[in-house]
Amino acid sequence: MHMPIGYKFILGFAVVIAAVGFAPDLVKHLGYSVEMTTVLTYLVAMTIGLILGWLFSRRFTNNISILTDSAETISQGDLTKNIEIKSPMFPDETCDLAGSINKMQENLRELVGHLNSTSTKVSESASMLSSSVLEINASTEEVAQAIEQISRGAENQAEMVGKSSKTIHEMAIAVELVAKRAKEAAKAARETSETAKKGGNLANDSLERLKSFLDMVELTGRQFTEFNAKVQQVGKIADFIGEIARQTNLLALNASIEAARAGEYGKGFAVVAEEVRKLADGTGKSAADIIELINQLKEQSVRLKETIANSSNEITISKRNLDVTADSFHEIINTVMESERKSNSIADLSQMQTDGAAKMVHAIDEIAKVAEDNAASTEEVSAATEEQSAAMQDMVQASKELAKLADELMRIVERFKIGENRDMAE
Amino acid sequence: MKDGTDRLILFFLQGDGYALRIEDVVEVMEPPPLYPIPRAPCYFPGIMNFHGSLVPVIDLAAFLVGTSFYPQGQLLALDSRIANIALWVDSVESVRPAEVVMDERESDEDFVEKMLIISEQEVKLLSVGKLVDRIEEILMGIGSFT
Repeated sequence: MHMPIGYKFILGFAVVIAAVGFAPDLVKHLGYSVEMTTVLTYLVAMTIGLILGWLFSRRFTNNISILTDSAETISQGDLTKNIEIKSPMFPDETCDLAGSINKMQENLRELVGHLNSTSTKVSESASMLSSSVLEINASTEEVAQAIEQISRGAENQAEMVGKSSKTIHEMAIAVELVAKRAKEAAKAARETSETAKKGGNLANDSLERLKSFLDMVELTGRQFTEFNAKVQQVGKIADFIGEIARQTNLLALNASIEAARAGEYGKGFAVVAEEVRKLADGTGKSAADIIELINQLKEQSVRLKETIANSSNEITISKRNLDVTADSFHEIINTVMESERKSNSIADLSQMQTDGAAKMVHAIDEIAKVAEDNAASTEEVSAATEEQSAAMQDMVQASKELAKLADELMRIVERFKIGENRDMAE
Repeated sequence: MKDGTDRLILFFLQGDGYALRIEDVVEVMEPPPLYPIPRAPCYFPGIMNFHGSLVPVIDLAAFLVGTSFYPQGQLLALDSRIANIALWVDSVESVRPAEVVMDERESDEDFVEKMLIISEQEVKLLSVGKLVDRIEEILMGIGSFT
Protein backbone atom coordinates (compact mmCIF):
# COMPACT_ATOMS: atom_id res chain seq x y z
CA MET A 1 0.00 0.00 0.00
CA HIS A 2 1.43 3.33 -1.08
CA MET A 3 2.08 5.75 1.66
CA PRO A 4 3.44 9.17 1.07
CA ILE A 5 6.40 10.31 3.13
CA GLY A 6 4.36 13.06 4.71
CA TYR A 7 1.93 10.51 6.00
CA LYS A 8 4.80 8.49 7.29
CA PHE A 9 6.13 11.53 9.11
CA ILE A 10 2.71 12.23 10.48
CA LEU A 11 2.40 8.57 11.47
CA GLY A 12 5.79 8.64 13.17
CA PHE A 13 4.97 11.89 14.87
CA ALA A 14 1.72 10.32 16.00
CA VAL A 15 3.59 7.23 17.24
CA VAL A 16 6.04 9.45 19.13
CA ILE A 17 3.17 11.39 20.60
CA ALA A 18 1.47 8.13 21.49
CA ALA A 19 4.67 6.82 23.00
CA VAL A 20 5.07 10.03 24.96
CA GLY A 21 1.51 9.72 26.01
CA PHE A 22 1.62 6.12 26.93
CA ALA A 23 5.21 6.07 28.38
CA PRO A 24 4.36 7.60 31.86
CA ASP A 25 1.80 4.97 32.43
CA LEU A 26 4.23 2.33 31.52
CA VAL A 27 6.98 3.93 33.65
CA LYS A 28 4.62 4.16 36.60
CA HIS A 29 4.23 0.53 36.58
CA LEU A 30 7.93 0.34 37.26
CA GLY A 31 7.48 2.12 40.46
CA TYR A 32 9.99 4.81 40.37
CA SER A 33 9.82 8.14 41.86
CA VAL A 34 7.94 10.75 40.13
CA GLU A 35 11.01 12.56 39.16
CA MET A 36 12.55 9.42 38.13
CA THR A 37 9.42 8.40 36.38
CA THR A 38 9.31 11.74 34.64
CA VAL A 39 12.91 11.42 33.55
CA LEU A 40 12.40 7.87 32.48
CA THR A 41 9.21 8.86 30.75
CA TYR A 42 11.10 11.41 28.77
CA LEU A 43 13.86 8.98 28.17
CA VAL A 44 11.46 6.25 27.08
CA ALA A 45 9.50 8.64 25.04
CA MET A 46 12.73 9.94 23.48
CA THR A 47 14.05 6.46 22.93
CA ILE A 48 10.86 5.23 21.44
CA GLY A 49 10.78 8.36 19.36
CA LEU A 50 14.36 7.87 18.28
CA ILE A 51 13.85 4.25 17.53
CA LEU A 52 10.73 4.84 15.61
CA GLY A 53 12.34 7.82 13.88
CA TRP A 54 15.37 5.71 12.99
CA LEU A 55 13.12 2.94 11.85
CA PHE A 56 11.10 5.29 9.74
CA SER A 57 14.02 7.33 8.40
CA ARG A 58 16.36 4.41 7.77
CA ARG A 59 14.54 3.09 4.62
CA PHE A 60 13.87 6.61 3.48
CA THR A 61 17.43 7.63 3.99
CA ASN A 62 18.66 4.47 2.28
CA ASN A 63 16.39 5.05 -0.70
CA ILE A 64 17.46 8.68 -0.86
CA SER A 65 21.07 7.57 -0.74
CA ILE A 66 20.46 5.07 -3.55
CA LEU A 67 18.71 7.74 -5.53
CA THR A 68 21.52 10.16 -4.83
CA ASP A 69 24.10 7.60 -5.93
CA SER A 70 22.06 6.81 -8.99
CA ALA A 71 21.68 10.48 -9.79
CA GLU A 72 25.42 10.88 -9.29
CA THR A 73 26.06 7.91 -11.58
CA ILE A 74 23.65 9.27 -14.18
CA SER A 75 25.21 12.67 -13.87
CA GLN A 76 28.53 11.00 -14.73
CA GLY A 77 26.94 9.56 -17.83
CA ASP A 78 26.58 6.01 -16.63
CA LEU A 79 23.13 4.91 -17.67
CA THR A 80 23.81 1.23 -17.34
CA LYS A 81 22.62 0.70 -13.80
CA ASN A 82 18.97 0.81 -12.90
CA ILE A 83 17.98 1.80 -9.37
CA GLU A 84 16.99 -1.24 -7.42
CA ILE A 85 15.05 -0.42 -4.27
CA LYS A 86 13.53 -3.14 -2.15
CA SER A 87 9.94 -2.80 -2.31
CA PRO A 88 8.85 -1.73 1.23
CA MET A 89 5.63 -2.57 2.82
CA PHE A 90 4.56 0.89 2.23
CA PRO A 91 6.18 2.31 -0.89
CA ASP A 92 6.63 5.99 -0.85
CA GLU A 93 7.75 8.76 -3.21
CA THR A 94 11.35 7.42 -3.25
CA CYS A 95 10.03 4.30 -4.86
CA ASP A 96 8.18 6.47 -7.34
CA LEU A 97 11.27 8.60 -7.78
CA ALA A 98 13.39 5.49 -8.34
CA GLY A 99 10.90 4.29 -10.90
CA SER A 100 10.81 7.68 -12.55
CA ILE A 101 14.60 7.84 -12.55
CA ASN A 102 14.79 4.34 -13.99
CA LYS A 103 12.27 5.37 -16.61
CA MET A 104 14.20 8.58 -17.19
CA GLN A 105 17.40 6.54 -17.42
CA GLU A 106 15.71 4.18 -19.80
CA ASN A 107 14.60 7.10 -21.91
CA LEU A 108 18.04 8.62 -21.67
CA ARG A 109 19.59 5.33 -22.75
CA GLU A 110 17.22 5.17 -25.63
CA LEU A 111 17.93 8.82 -26.42
CA VAL A 112 21.68 8.37 -26.09
CA GLY A 113 21.45 5.22 -28.14
CA HIS A 114 19.58 7.10 -30.79
CA LEU A 115 22.02 9.96 -30.50
CA ASN A 116 24.90 7.56 -30.68
CA SER A 117 23.56 5.74 -33.70
CA THR A 118 22.43 8.95 -35.29
CA SER A 119 25.74 10.68 -34.68
CA THR A 120 27.50 7.60 -36.00
CA LYS A 121 25.31 7.65 -39.05
CA VAL A 122 25.77 11.41 -39.32
CA SER A 123 29.50 10.98 -39.00
CA GLU A 124 29.49 8.20 -41.55
CA SER A 125 27.16 10.21 -43.76
CA ALA A 126 29.36 13.27 -43.25
CA SER A 127 32.38 11.22 -44.17
CA MET A 128 30.54 9.80 -47.16
CA LEU A 129 29.25 13.24 -47.95
CA SER A 130 32.73 14.63 -47.59
CA SER A 131 34.19 11.91 -49.82
CA SER A 132 31.26 12.28 -52.20
CA VAL A 133 31.67 15.99 -52.19
CA LEU A 134 35.36 15.50 -52.75
CA GLU A 135 34.60 13.17 -55.59
CA ILE A 136 31.98 15.57 -56.86
CA ASN A 137 34.45 18.33 -56.43
CA ALA A 138 37.04 16.33 -58.32
CA SER A 139 34.44 15.49 -60.90
CA THR A 140 33.37 19.09 -60.94
CA GLU A 141 36.96 20.13 -61.43
CA GLU A 142 37.27 17.57 -64.19
CA VAL A 143 33.99 18.82 -65.57
CA ALA A 144 35.31 22.35 -65.23
CA GLN A 145 38.49 21.38 -67.01
CA ALA A 146 36.47 19.53 -69.59
CA ILE A 147 34.15 22.48 -69.97
CA GLU A 148 37.12 24.79 -70.14
CA GLN A 149 38.56 22.51 -72.77
CA ILE A 150 35.16 22.46 -74.42
CA SER A 151 35.12 26.22 -74.16
CA ARG A 152 38.53 26.44 -75.80
CA GLY A 153 37.36 23.84 -78.29
CA ALA A 154 34.23 25.86 -78.87
CA GLU A 155 36.33 28.96 -79.39
CA ASN A 156 38.58 27.03 -81.75
CA GLN A 157 35.49 25.56 -83.31
CA ALA A 158 34.03 29.02 -83.73
CA GLU A 159 37.33 30.21 -85.19
CA MET A 160 37.59 27.19 -87.45
CA VAL A 161 33.97 27.51 -88.41
CA GLY A 162 34.69 31.14 -89.21
CA LYS A 163 37.61 30.12 -91.39
CA SER A 164 35.49 27.33 -92.85
CA SER A 165 32.77 29.84 -93.52
CA LYS A 166 35.28 32.06 -95.32
CA THR A 167 36.61 29.08 -97.22
CA ILE A 168 33.11 27.91 -98.10
CA HIS A 169 32.24 31.42 -99.19
CA GLU A 170 35.29 31.39 -101.43
CA MET A 171 34.44 27.87 -102.53
CA ALA A 172 30.90 29.00 -103.29
CA ILE A 173 32.34 31.78 -105.42
CA ALA A 174 34.65 29.25 -107.08
CA VAL A 175 31.74 26.87 -107.60
CA GLU A 176 29.76 29.70 -109.13
CA LEU A 177 32.71 30.48 -111.40
CA VAL A 178 32.96 26.78 -112.24
CA ALA A 179 29.26 26.77 -113.08
CA LYS A 180 29.77 29.82 -115.25
CA ARG A 181 32.76 28.21 -116.95
CA ALA A 182 30.81 24.97 -117.30
CA LYS A 183 28.04 26.89 -119.08
CA GLU A 184 30.64 28.51 -121.29
CA ALA A 185 32.22 25.08 -121.87
CA ALA A 186 28.81 23.66 -122.76
CA LYS A 187 28.26 26.55 -125.15
CA ALA A 188 31.75 26.01 -126.59
CA ALA A 189 31.03 22.29 -126.85
CA ARG A 190 27.84 23.06 -128.79
CA GLU A 191 29.76 25.40 -131.05
CA THR A 192 32.53 22.80 -131.37
CA SER A 193 29.90 20.22 -132.22
CA GLU A 194 28.49 22.47 -134.92
CA THR A 195 32.00 23.22 -136.17
CA ALA A 196 32.86 19.52 -136.12
CA LYS A 197 29.70 18.77 -138.09
CA LYS A 198 30.63 21.45 -140.59
CA GLY A 199 34.18 20.08 -140.61
CA GLY A 200 32.80 16.58 -141.20
CA ASN A 201 30.66 17.84 -144.06
CA LEU A 202 33.61 19.74 -145.47
CA ALA A 203 35.79 16.65 -145.08
CA ASN A 204 33.21 14.56 -146.93
CA ASP A 205 32.94 17.24 -149.58
CA SER A 206 36.74 17.42 -149.77
CA LEU A 207 36.85 13.65 -150.03
CA GLU A 208 34.40 13.69 -152.94
CA ARG A 209 36.30 16.53 -154.56
CA LEU A 210 39.57 14.72 -154.01
CA LYS A 211 38.14 11.56 -155.54
CA SER A 212 37.05 13.64 -158.49
CA PHE A 213 40.47 15.24 -158.54
CA LEU A 214 42.08 11.80 -158.42
CA ASP A 215 39.95 10.72 -161.38
CA MET A 216 40.99 13.89 -163.16
CA VAL A 217 44.60 13.16 -162.31
CA GLU A 218 44.24 9.67 -163.69
CA LEU A 219 42.63 11.14 -166.80
CA THR A 220 45.45 13.66 -166.96
CA GLY A 221 47.89 10.77 -166.67
CA ARG A 222 46.23 8.97 -169.58
CA GLN A 223 46.11 12.19 -171.59
CA PHE A 224 49.71 12.81 -170.71
CA THR A 225 50.60 9.31 -171.90
CA GLU A 226 48.88 10.07 -175.18
CA PHE A 227 50.62 13.42 -175.29
CA ASN A 228 53.89 11.72 -174.59
CA ALA A 229 53.30 9.27 -177.41
CA LYS A 230 52.63 12.18 -179.74
CA VAL A 231 55.76 13.88 -178.49
CA GLN A 232 57.58 10.67 -179.26
CA GLN A 233 56.15 10.83 -182.76
CA VAL A 234 57.23 14.44 -183.05
CA GLY A 235 60.66 13.35 -181.83
CA LYS A 236 60.79 10.70 -184.49
CA ILE A 237 59.78 13.27 -187.08
CA ALA A 238 62.41 15.61 -185.72
CA ASP A 239 64.93 12.79 -185.91
CA PHE A 240 63.85 12.22 -189.45
CA ILE A 241 64.15 15.92 -190.21
CA GLY A 242 67.54 15.91 -188.53
CA GLU A 243 68.56 12.94 -190.63
CA ILE A 244 67.30 14.69 -193.76
CA ALA A 245 69.21 17.80 -192.71
CA ARG A 246 72.28 15.70 -192.11
CA GLN A 247 71.94 14.06 -195.47
CA THR A 248 71.24 17.42 -197.06
CA ASN A 249 74.27 18.83 -195.33
CA LEU A 250 76.24 15.93 -196.60
CA LEU A 251 74.91 16.48 -200.11
CA ALA A 252 75.70 20.16 -199.82
CA LEU A 253 79.20 19.36 -198.71
CA ASN A 254 79.66 16.96 -201.56
CA ALA A 255 78.11 19.51 -203.91
CA SER A 256 80.62 22.05 -202.66
CA ILE A 257 83.36 19.52 -203.27
CA GLU A 258 82.10 18.83 -206.74
CA ALA A 259 81.79 22.55 -207.39
CA ALA A 260 85.30 23.07 -206.20
CA ARG A 261 86.49 20.29 -208.39
CA ALA A 262 84.64 21.90 -211.30
CA GLY A 263 86.93 24.89 -210.90
CA GLU A 264 85.82 28.19 -212.24
CA TYR A 265 82.65 26.67 -213.67
CA GLY A 266 81.48 25.41 -210.38
CA LYS A 267 81.60 28.65 -208.48
CA GLY A 268 77.93 29.41 -208.88
CA PHE A 269 77.06 25.86 -207.95
CA ALA A 270 79.37 26.16 -204.98
CA VAL A 271 77.39 29.17 -203.83
CA VAL A 272 74.13 27.25 -204.18
CA ALA A 273 75.65 24.28 -202.43
CA GLU A 274 76.85 26.52 -199.66
CA GLU A 275 73.38 28.01 -199.28
CA VAL A 276 71.87 24.53 -199.29
CA ARG A 277 74.41 23.52 -196.74
CA LYS A 278 73.50 26.51 -194.61
CA LEU A 279 69.82 25.66 -194.91
CA ALA A 280 70.55 22.07 -194.07
CA ASP A 281 72.72 23.18 -191.25
CA GLY A 282 69.97 25.49 -189.96
CA THR A 283 67.43 22.72 -190.45
CA GLY A 284 69.72 20.35 -188.65
CA LYS A 285 70.23 22.80 -185.83
CA SER A 286 66.49 23.40 -185.64
CA ALA A 287 65.89 19.68 -185.75
CA ALA A 288 68.56 19.28 -183.10
CA ASP A 289 66.86 21.99 -181.09
CA ILE A 290 63.54 20.22 -181.54
CA ILE A 291 65.14 16.94 -180.58
CA GLU A 292 66.77 18.63 -177.62
CA LEU A 293 63.45 20.16 -176.64
CA ILE A 294 61.74 16.83 -177.13
CA ASN A 295 64.44 15.17 -175.07
CA GLN A 296 63.89 17.78 -172.42
CA LEU A 297 60.16 17.18 -172.82
CA LYS A 298 60.82 13.48 -172.46
CA GLU A 299 62.88 14.04 -169.35
CA GLN A 300 60.31 16.42 -167.98
CA SER A 301 57.53 14.07 -169.00
CA VAL A 302 59.32 11.24 -167.23
CA ARG A 303 59.66 13.43 -164.15
CA LEU A 304 56.12 14.64 -164.60
CA LYS A 305 54.94 11.08 -164.97
CA GLU A 306 56.82 10.14 -161.83
CA THR A 307 55.37 13.22 -160.16
CA ILE A 308 51.89 12.28 -161.34
CA ALA A 309 52.46 8.71 -160.18
CA ASN A 310 53.77 9.97 -156.87
CA SER A 311 50.90 12.42 -156.69
CA SER A 312 48.53 9.63 -157.51
CA ASN A 313 50.06 7.53 -154.77
CA GLU A 314 50.00 10.50 -152.43
CA ILE A 315 46.42 11.19 -153.39
CA THR A 316 45.58 7.54 -152.82
CA ILE A 317 47.22 7.78 -149.42
CA SER A 318 45.49 11.13 -148.89
CA LYS A 319 42.22 9.51 -149.89
CA ARG A 320 42.77 6.82 -147.29
CA ASN A 321 43.82 9.49 -144.84
CA LEU A 322 40.73 11.47 -145.76
CA ASP A 323 38.65 8.36 -145.19
CA VAL A 324 40.36 8.05 -141.82
CA THR A 325 39.88 11.80 -141.32
CA ALA A 326 36.20 11.48 -142.19
CA ASP A 327 35.90 8.60 -139.76
CA SER A 328 37.87 10.65 -137.23
CA PHE A 329 35.53 13.57 -137.84
CA HIS A 330 32.62 11.22 -137.31
CA GLU A 331 34.20 10.00 -134.08
CA ILE A 332 35.07 13.60 -133.17
CA ILE A 333 31.48 14.60 -133.79
CA ASN A 334 30.27 11.73 -131.63
CA THR A 335 32.86 12.57 -128.99
CA VAL A 336 32.03 16.26 -129.17
CA MET A 337 28.33 15.49 -128.92
CA GLU A 338 29.09 13.28 -125.95
CA SER A 339 31.26 16.09 -124.57
CA GLU A 340 28.40 18.50 -125.18
CA ARG A 341 26.03 16.20 -123.32
CA LYS A 342 28.53 15.83 -120.50
CA SER A 343 29.22 19.56 -120.50
CA ASN A 344 25.50 20.22 -120.23
CA SER A 345 25.33 17.67 -117.45
CA ILE A 346 28.33 19.33 -115.79
CA ALA A 347 26.66 22.71 -116.20
CA ASP A 348 23.47 21.37 -114.59
CA LEU A 349 25.47 19.71 -111.84
CA SER A 350 27.47 22.90 -111.37
CA GLN A 351 24.21 24.81 -111.04
CA MET A 352 23.11 22.27 -108.45
CA GLN A 353 26.50 22.69 -106.80
CA THR A 354 25.98 26.43 -106.81
CA ASP A 355 22.59 26.01 -105.15
CA GLY A 356 24.09 23.50 -102.74
CA ALA A 357 27.00 25.87 -102.08
CA ALA A 358 24.54 28.67 -101.32
CA LYS A 359 22.70 26.40 -98.89
CA MET A 360 26.05 25.31 -97.49
CA VAL A 361 27.02 28.94 -97.02
CA HIS A 362 23.73 29.58 -95.23
CA ALA A 363 24.21 26.44 -93.15
CA ILE A 364 27.81 27.28 -92.30
CA ASP A 365 26.71 30.76 -91.30
CA GLU A 366 24.13 29.18 -89.03
CA ILE A 367 26.79 26.80 -87.74
CA ALA A 368 29.12 29.71 -87.14
CA LYS A 369 26.39 31.49 -85.24
CA VAL A 370 25.62 28.36 -83.23
CA ALA A 371 29.34 27.83 -82.65
CA GLU A 372 29.63 31.40 -81.36
CA ASP A 373 26.59 30.83 -79.14
CA ASN A 374 28.11 27.54 -78.02
CA ALA A 375 31.38 29.28 -77.25
CA ALA A 376 29.53 31.92 -75.26
CA SER A 377 27.40 29.26 -73.54
CA THR A 378 30.42 27.15 -72.73
CA GLU A 379 32.07 30.22 -71.27
CA GLU A 380 28.97 30.74 -69.16
CA VAL A 381 28.95 27.05 -68.27
CA SER A 382 32.63 27.29 -67.45
CA ALA A 383 31.94 30.25 -65.20
CA ALA A 384 28.99 28.39 -63.62
CA THR A 385 31.19 25.36 -63.21
CA GLU A 386 33.80 27.46 -61.50
CA GLU A 387 31.10 28.80 -59.22
CA GLN A 388 29.86 25.27 -58.69
CA SER A 389 33.40 24.20 -57.94
CA ALA A 390 33.68 26.99 -55.41
CA ALA A 391 30.31 25.92 -53.95
CA MET A 392 31.56 22.36 -53.86
CA GLN A 393 34.64 23.57 -52.02
CA ASP A 394 32.32 25.25 -49.54
CA MET A 395 30.30 22.06 -49.37
CA VAL A 396 33.46 20.09 -48.74
CA GLN A 397 34.31 22.49 -46.01
CA ALA A 398 30.76 22.23 -44.62
CA SER A 399 30.81 18.45 -44.83
CA LYS A 400 34.11 18.46 -42.97
CA GLU A 401 32.56 20.72 -40.40
CA LEU A 402 29.57 18.41 -40.21
CA ALA A 403 31.82 15.38 -39.83
CA LYS A 404 33.71 17.25 -37.15
CA LEU A 405 30.47 18.10 -35.38
CA ALA A 406 29.32 14.50 -35.74
CA ASP A 407 32.59 13.31 -34.24
CA GLU A 408 32.26 15.80 -31.45
CA LEU A 409 28.67 14.70 -30.87
CA MET A 410 29.84 11.13 -30.85
CA ARG A 411 32.52 11.95 -28.34
CA ILE A 412 29.89 13.68 -26.23
CA VAL A 413 27.48 10.81 -26.58
CA GLU A 414 30.20 8.30 -25.88
CA ARG A 415 30.42 9.67 -22.35
CA PHE A 416 27.09 8.07 -21.73
CA LYS A 417 27.30 4.39 -20.92
CA ILE A 418 24.25 2.53 -21.89
CA GLY A 419 25.58 -1.04 -21.92
CA GLU A 420 26.82 -3.46 -24.54
CA ASN A 421 23.52 -5.03 -25.37
CA ARG A 422 21.92 -1.72 -25.63
CA ASP A 423 24.68 -0.45 -27.92
CA MET A 424 24.53 -3.56 -30.00
CA ALA A 425 20.79 -3.40 -30.10
CA GLU A 426 20.95 0.16 -31.18
CA MET B 1 95.72 30.24 -199.94
CA LYS B 2 93.94 33.49 -200.74
CA ASP B 3 93.69 33.32 -204.50
CA GLY B 4 89.92 33.19 -204.42
CA THR B 5 89.61 29.61 -205.65
CA ASP B 6 91.02 27.66 -202.73
CA ARG B 7 88.48 26.15 -200.44
CA LEU B 8 88.89 24.26 -197.25
CA ILE B 9 86.82 21.55 -195.78
CA LEU B 10 86.70 21.87 -192.00
CA PHE B 11 86.16 18.97 -189.65
CA PHE B 12 86.68 18.07 -186.02
CA LEU B 13 88.71 15.50 -184.20
CA GLN B 14 88.29 15.21 -180.46
CA GLY B 15 87.03 18.80 -180.31
CA ASP B 16 89.93 20.23 -182.26
CA GLY B 17 89.44 21.88 -185.63
CA TYR B 18 91.17 20.40 -188.66
CA ALA B 19 91.11 21.30 -192.32
CA LEU B 20 91.88 19.72 -195.67
CA ARG B 21 92.08 21.32 -199.03
CA ILE B 22 88.90 20.56 -200.77
CA GLU B 23 90.65 19.29 -203.92
CA ASP B 24 92.11 16.49 -201.80
CA VAL B 25 88.63 15.20 -200.93
CA VAL B 26 86.20 13.68 -203.37
CA GLU B 27 83.28 12.91 -201.09
CA VAL B 28 81.89 13.25 -197.64
CA MET B 29 79.83 10.27 -196.61
CA GLU B 30 78.19 8.49 -193.75
CA PRO B 31 80.13 5.54 -192.40
CA PRO B 32 79.18 2.43 -194.44
CA PRO B 33 79.57 -1.13 -193.16
CA LEU B 34 83.24 -1.87 -192.57
CA TYR B 35 85.07 -5.08 -193.08
CA PRO B 36 87.75 -5.43 -190.48
CA ILE B 37 91.18 -6.71 -191.34
CA PRO B 38 92.80 -9.15 -188.92
CA ARG B 39 95.84 -8.02 -186.99
CA ALA B 40 95.42 -4.46 -188.33
CA PRO B 41 96.35 -1.56 -186.06
CA CYS B 42 93.64 0.02 -183.95
CA TYR B 43 93.43 3.13 -186.16
CA PHE B 44 92.58 0.86 -189.10
CA PRO B 45 89.03 -0.29 -188.43
CA GLY B 46 88.49 -1.95 -191.75
CA ILE B 47 87.78 -1.68 -195.44
CA MET B 48 84.68 -0.25 -197.08
CA ASN B 49 82.97 -0.55 -200.40
CA PHE B 50 83.29 2.84 -202.02
CA HIS B 51 81.43 2.83 -205.33
CA GLY B 52 82.65 -0.68 -206.11
CA SER B 53 86.23 -0.12 -204.96
CA LEU B 54 87.75 -1.39 -201.74
CA VAL B 55 89.01 1.54 -199.79
CA PRO B 56 90.76 1.29 -196.42
CA VAL B 57 89.35 3.49 -193.68
CA ILE B 58 91.69 5.26 -191.32
CA ASP B 59 90.53 6.39 -187.90
CA LEU B 60 92.20 9.76 -188.06
CA ALA B 61 91.61 10.50 -184.34
CA ALA B 62 93.29 7.28 -183.33
CA PHE B 63 96.03 7.83 -185.84
CA LEU B 64 96.79 11.44 -184.88
CA VAL B 65 95.73 11.77 -181.29
CA GLY B 66 95.78 8.19 -180.12
CA THR B 67 92.16 7.96 -178.97
CA SER B 68 89.36 5.84 -180.38
CA PHE B 69 87.19 7.14 -183.21
CA TYR B 70 83.84 8.76 -182.83
CA PRO B 71 81.18 6.15 -183.81
CA GLN B 72 78.78 8.71 -185.22
CA GLY B 73 81.48 10.32 -187.34
CA GLN B 74 81.74 10.86 -191.06
CA LEU B 75 84.14 9.73 -193.72
CA LEU B 76 86.23 11.88 -195.97
CA ALA B 77 87.10 9.98 -199.10
CA LEU B 78 90.36 11.26 -200.53
CA ASP B 79 90.96 11.83 -204.14
CA SER B 80 92.00 8.53 -205.70
CA ARG B 81 94.78 10.37 -207.48
CA ILE B 82 96.30 10.93 -204.05
CA ALA B 83 95.33 7.71 -202.40
CA ASN B 84 92.42 5.31 -202.12
CA ILE B 85 91.90 6.10 -198.49
CA ALA B 86 88.96 7.34 -196.46
CA LEU B 87 89.49 9.26 -193.26
CA TRP B 88 87.10 8.75 -190.34
CA VAL B 89 86.55 12.08 -188.61
CA ASP B 90 84.20 13.07 -185.81
CA SER B 91 82.19 15.48 -187.89
CA VAL B 92 82.54 17.61 -191.00
CA GLU B 93 81.56 21.16 -190.34
CA SER B 94 81.56 22.99 -193.59
CA VAL B 95 83.38 23.95 -196.76
CA ARG B 96 84.86 27.37 -196.41
CA PRO B 97 86.66 29.58 -198.87
CA ALA B 98 90.25 30.40 -198.09
CA GLU B 99 89.28 34.02 -197.44
CA VAL B 100 87.98 33.08 -194.05
CA VAL B 101 91.50 32.37 -192.90
CA MET B 102 92.45 35.36 -190.82
CA ASP B 103 95.96 34.27 -190.07
CA GLU B 104 98.24 31.34 -190.50
CA ARG B 105 101.54 30.13 -189.18
CA GLU B 106 103.85 27.21 -189.45
CA SER B 107 103.45 24.22 -187.19
CA ASP B 108 105.96 21.66 -186.08
CA GLU B 109 103.33 19.00 -185.39
CA ASP B 110 103.45 15.87 -187.46
CA PHE B 111 101.22 15.89 -190.54
CA VAL B 112 100.19 19.50 -189.84
CA GLU B 113 101.08 21.77 -192.69
CA LYS B 114 99.97 25.03 -191.17
CA MET B 115 98.09 26.37 -188.24
CA LEU B 116 95.18 28.51 -189.53
CA ILE B 117 93.12 31.02 -187.60
CA ILE B 118 89.49 30.92 -188.74
CA SER B 119 86.84 32.79 -186.85
CA GLU B 120 89.32 33.30 -184.03
CA GLN B 121 89.83 29.59 -183.69
CA GLU B 122 92.86 27.54 -184.49
CA VAL B 123 92.45 25.01 -187.27
CA LYS B 124 95.15 22.56 -188.20
CA LEU B 125 95.63 22.26 -191.96
CA LEU B 126 96.69 18.68 -192.53
CA SER B 127 99.44 17.83 -194.96
CA VAL B 128 97.72 15.14 -197.00
CA GLY B 129 100.92 14.10 -198.71
CA LYS B 130 102.77 13.35 -195.50
CA LEU B 131 99.71 11.71 -194.03
CA VAL B 132 99.18 9.51 -197.07
CA ASP B 133 102.85 8.59 -197.22
CA ARG B 134 102.83 7.50 -193.68
CA ILE B 135 99.60 5.57 -194.07
CA GLU B 136 100.85 3.87 -197.14
CA GLU B 137 103.96 2.89 -195.29
CA ILE B 138 101.86 1.37 -192.64
CA LEU B 139 99.56 -0.32 -195.11
CA MET B 140 102.50 -1.66 -197.03
CA GLY B 141 103.86 -2.98 -193.77
CA ILE B 142 100.62 -4.77 -193.13
CA GLY B 143 100.55 -6.14 -196.63
CA SER B 144 104.14 -7.37 -196.43
CA PHE B 145 103.38 -8.95 -193.15
CA THR B 146 100.43 -10.77 -194.56
